Amino acid sequence: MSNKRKFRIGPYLFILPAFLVSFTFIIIPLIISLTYSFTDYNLISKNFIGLGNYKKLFTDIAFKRALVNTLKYTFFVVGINAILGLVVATFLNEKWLRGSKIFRTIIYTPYTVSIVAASMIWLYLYDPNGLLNVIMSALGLKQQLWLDNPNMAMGCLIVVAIWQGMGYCMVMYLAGYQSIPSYLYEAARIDGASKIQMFFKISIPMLAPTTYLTLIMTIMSSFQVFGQVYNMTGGGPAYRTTTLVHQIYMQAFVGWKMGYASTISVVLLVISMTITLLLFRYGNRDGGAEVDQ
Amino acid sequence: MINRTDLDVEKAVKISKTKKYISRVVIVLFLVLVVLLCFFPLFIMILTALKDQKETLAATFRFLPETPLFSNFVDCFARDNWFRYFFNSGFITLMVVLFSTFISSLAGFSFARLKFKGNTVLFMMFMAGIMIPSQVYIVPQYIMLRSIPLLGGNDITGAGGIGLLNSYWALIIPFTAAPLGIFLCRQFYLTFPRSLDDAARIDGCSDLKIFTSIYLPQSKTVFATFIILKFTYTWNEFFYPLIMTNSKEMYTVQIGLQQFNELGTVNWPLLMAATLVTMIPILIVFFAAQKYFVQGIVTSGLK
Repeated sequence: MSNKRKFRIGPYLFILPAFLVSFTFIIIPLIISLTYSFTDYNLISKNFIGLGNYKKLFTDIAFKRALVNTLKYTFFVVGINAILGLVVATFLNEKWLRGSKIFRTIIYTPYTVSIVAASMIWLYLYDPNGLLNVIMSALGLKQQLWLDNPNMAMGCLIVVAIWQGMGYCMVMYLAGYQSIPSYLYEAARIDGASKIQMFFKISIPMLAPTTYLTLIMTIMSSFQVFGQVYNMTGGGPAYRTTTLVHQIYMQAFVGWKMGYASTISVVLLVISMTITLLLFRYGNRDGGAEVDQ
Repeated sequence: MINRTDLDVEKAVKISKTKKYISRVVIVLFLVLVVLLCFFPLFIMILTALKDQKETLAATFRFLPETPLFSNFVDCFARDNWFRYFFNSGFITLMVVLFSTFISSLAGFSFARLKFKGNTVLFMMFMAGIMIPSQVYIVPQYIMLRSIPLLGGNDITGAGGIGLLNSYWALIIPFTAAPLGIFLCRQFYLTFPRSLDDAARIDGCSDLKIFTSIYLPQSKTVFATFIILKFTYTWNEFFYPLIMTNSKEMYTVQIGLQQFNELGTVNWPLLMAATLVTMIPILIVFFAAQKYFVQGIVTSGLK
């Protein structure tokens, strides 16, 4: 009994290795990042410049483009993937459907492909002499420049992200469906509800926790988009596909402006934290609380 | 009169049956379309990897390769130092997986089973780590690794050289921080009956002994889930090695593939062959352990 009251070092020792790594490589750099954002550090000299970097954000065209592009990308990728993932999962969940496991596996496979590999595959498809233009002319449509067309490049990257990410949302929703008790649907069927009514009145509300988790995760990863941009467009044409993380990379590791890059990092942190916290709050109030899981 | 209602009912049943049939056909067609669209780019990659370069440059496009050219896989290896990249990626992934599993299971056990001050607060702190994009702190991380004193040509103040940049250390240690692993292990260990611990404790077992003799041997499923996630994540990682490496000796397969694209004119068949080769380890793991793969994604919700 008295043993329990005594301060024991043991439990802390178990956590120590994990804590040391996280502290050294996450917490300390995070704090340093905040302090760098007030300096003009460029690996050679470091001067405190107050809010100089933050003021610069407002006049930096590349940053403005990056911010708009990242939001646009996130909006479309998250929205389309969540809706498509939900629809596909709903269909795959039909009891009469045969071979749903094969469907599921194939739809999920692109998610396991690395971002570099995915970029290479789609570079080939988007090549001006590539397959997509062959298909376009076979269909009697005009050939396109795809990634070199300023108005299309972002859309092309979004397509790649949908191809890669849809399977993730599908798997999440399939798991979500497992937790809905089947008597709800049986009761609805006896009351004469149609499939579509059941989808909107039972499935969607019951899947709310899944939706919030999926949204948070896809939003977080969309905000970090970099690989496609770096490998497929290099941020071009005319900054049309540059993103926040791409700007962090360009400022820090091409321009060696560590201070300014840290400022963009802080913006990335603030935006993604805000959206996550909003979703958590909104999710807990409207969805999570009602559904007993 | 009876006959007429019978007919009506029959008609109604027939109509609803046709409706059902049509809706099912539409659903199947939709799913087949989605599956084809998902598989199509991968299919094209495989076909292109088997083509001759002349075929990809020819004016008329042909879907299938004239004669499947398996030599592309050999040629792409010959054109760059792929064995080294594979070794690097394999070694880094192995080390990251080993260390992070070890570290996370220890911490997960402590959070799940041991009583101590600050348990919840510390756990929440680790979890916050999942939600912070790693790019936010990559700049200071880079500078920290660069200015470690007396290593990589640095003097005692940490200036002059490259520190731990471009070394296995830089590519392994930061990745062993695995809030996700701690989370998975903690959730898993919470399901164990507490009476097991109590019984062992009465027998005079220490916490460490309880962990190694009761919890560790039962951890296969949670380890499988976590290892597969971590393996995929580490193997596929691009941003981090792009920044931390600057010589061919230290490139991972992802950087190798990205550089391969920049070697001279684009040779699509070789590039697609190389792309396919870099995907093979992940595909093997995915198809061999799909259950754990999906389980990991679902329980953690993590991308």
